[in-house]
Amino acid sequence: MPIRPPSWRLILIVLGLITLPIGVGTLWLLLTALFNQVHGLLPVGNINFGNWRFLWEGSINGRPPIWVALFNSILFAATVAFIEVLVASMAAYAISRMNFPGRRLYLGMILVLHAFPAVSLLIAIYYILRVLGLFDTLFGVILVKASLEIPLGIWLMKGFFDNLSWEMEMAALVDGASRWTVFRKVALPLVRPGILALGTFALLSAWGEFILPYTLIVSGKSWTLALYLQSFLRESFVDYGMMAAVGLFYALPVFVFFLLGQKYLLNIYSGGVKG
Amino acid sequence: MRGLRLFVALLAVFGLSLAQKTIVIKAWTVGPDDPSITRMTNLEEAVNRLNAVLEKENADYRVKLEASFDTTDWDNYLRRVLLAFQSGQAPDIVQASAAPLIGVWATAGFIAPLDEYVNRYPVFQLEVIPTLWNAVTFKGQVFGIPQDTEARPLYFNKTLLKKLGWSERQINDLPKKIEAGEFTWDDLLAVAKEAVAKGVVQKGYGYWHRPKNGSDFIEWYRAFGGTIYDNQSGKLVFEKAAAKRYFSWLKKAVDAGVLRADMLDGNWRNWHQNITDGKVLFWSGGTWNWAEWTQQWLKDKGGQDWLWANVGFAPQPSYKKGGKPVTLSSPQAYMIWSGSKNKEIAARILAFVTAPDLDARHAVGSGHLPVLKSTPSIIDDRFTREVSALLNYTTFQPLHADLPKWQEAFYRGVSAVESGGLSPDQAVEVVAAEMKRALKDELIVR
Repeated sequence: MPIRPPSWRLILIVLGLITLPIGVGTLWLLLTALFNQVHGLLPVGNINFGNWRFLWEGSINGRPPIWVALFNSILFAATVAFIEVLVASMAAYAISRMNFPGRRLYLGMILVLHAFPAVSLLIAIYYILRVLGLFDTLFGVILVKASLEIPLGIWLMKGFFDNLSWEMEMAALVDGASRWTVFRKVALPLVRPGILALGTFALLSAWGEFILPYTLIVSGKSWTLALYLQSFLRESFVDYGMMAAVGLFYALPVFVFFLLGQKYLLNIYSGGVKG
Repeated sequence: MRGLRLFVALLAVFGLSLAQKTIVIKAWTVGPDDPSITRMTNLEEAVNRLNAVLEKENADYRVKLEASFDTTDWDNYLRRVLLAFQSGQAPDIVQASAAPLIGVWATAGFIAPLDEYVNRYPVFQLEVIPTLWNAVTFKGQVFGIPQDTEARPLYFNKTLLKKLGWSERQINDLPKKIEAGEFTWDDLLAVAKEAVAKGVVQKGYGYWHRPKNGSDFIEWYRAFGGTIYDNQSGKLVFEKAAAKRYFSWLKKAVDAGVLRADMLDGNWRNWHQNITDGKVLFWSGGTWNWAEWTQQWLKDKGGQDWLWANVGFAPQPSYKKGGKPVTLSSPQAYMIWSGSKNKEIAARILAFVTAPDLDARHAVGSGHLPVLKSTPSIIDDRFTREVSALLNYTTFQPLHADLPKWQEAFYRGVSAVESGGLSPDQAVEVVAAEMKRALKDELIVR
């Protein structure tokens, strides 16, 4: 018999109510993507796979093929996650373990960096990318996204490293291991849950990113799925069936990822070595 | 020996493929209406034709087109184009409304003058309808190749007029009466008022204009006797009397329950839906709407047949008896980015896209009007034929770099009057003051 918190039924109901809109929204997405027409949540007419024709027809009304957008999205999310985990874990280790002048100030400044929402920096970012010749390239947006997310990553990973006991590293150092070896062979494996959590977090965040690619990518060849989906939101006539299908296609990896990675995601709120 | 021959042949093929360059030309086009995708596909076809000619000429290069077609909305598209221009990464060919963008972009140095090419390729002089060159000429230089034009009719619902007691004949004569200046805006108001009173249409569904800002407001300002441009000084003009007439009419229409007070809600979906549900009596739209209704909104109701059975069109009436009706054309144009390294090739593509069959394909498919002289002779389409008559009443927007500021100020006046925030008199003063502030000595107030 699992241990349940007191009045767990009430908690379940409240949670259920909070989740209801998301559930209904997802259901609507599914029904609209599959049927000819949906009135509310009631399908009218036959099952219609025509809404999914973006999968087999190369280009829908002048848009780049969805596979290009999918590839770009995967490349974008994976690279951002990789850079973020790499930089954040190394920086966090250094901050957690080494004493250097200005460390506290540095930590404070990282926190300040995180306080800026990306939107407020857009114009400056545009100019910087233009000077670097990275405007309208996926690589440019990857750099921007990663650098905006790194402060949070550093703080998160610092928490994990802080929780490690110093003795094991000390022992390794006494045995003659270099600082780099200690980081790689001792510390990093111990914060594996943290890395997986941060990686999952970064991947999901980059997968859903819209405003950066929307502003910094202007030609179709570098479109991500978010831009592809946005192109269906029109001033007048909207093909809701296809939009729902694209939306579902866009959301599917997130569902899968969430199911596989939710236990790591929860780690963000605990952190450190257990037991 | 055979092996050697094969080797030589292979080498030759390899050598040829090395010698032949591929030049990539980028082109951005926009609807935002879906049916206008021919703005992009016509370019693709033009490049195919160009490549066929290059093959005959034994040229050492072929052209590859990377084209895109934007269907979101104008704001989004123009934002992208502007960012691309400013970052020096713009496409070689950009399609956009000739007015006011040619004025704005040529002033900023973003687009290249095309006079040299217009003179080089005879098709431009031979085929393009001469008046359209005015729409793409800025300060004496040609900056764009006309792509299409259109008219903006006053549409009316024939079925609802019948319900109101109009005879078949009266309905069919309405366009003629408007053309003759016998049916004015005040008459339209009276009819719409009657329709609301008799319950033929809901309150507020007697007359609709577009739900957000656009060049149509220039057309209505003109229909109420306004002049927008002074040819001699090259300045924009604001005529208080004309604006007051228009604003007062709008006020009367809102007060009479003919026009919705929240007409400017920006909701195109709602606009198309109600019109194609047959709930609106009179409305002002564009010829391209006809294609949108046919292909998208009325797909399940019979498409064009529904339109011919239920909808009629005429130019926008005059405000006074005996006055001339108007409509407005805002030609689209292909322009060439001033920073393009392949202007010559881009211009040659534009010469190939200026072909009657492609022009016809776009006109019929998207509800726009042809820009070439010989296109009408190969078109067999009732709507294109009938609606082309509206061009007799057409006007253009002035190519003035500050026109958007004029439009913005005027639109604020319209919006304030409809929502009841300002009286027509107050609105005229507010608009005049705002225009003076924004346009300074580029404006004449009369």
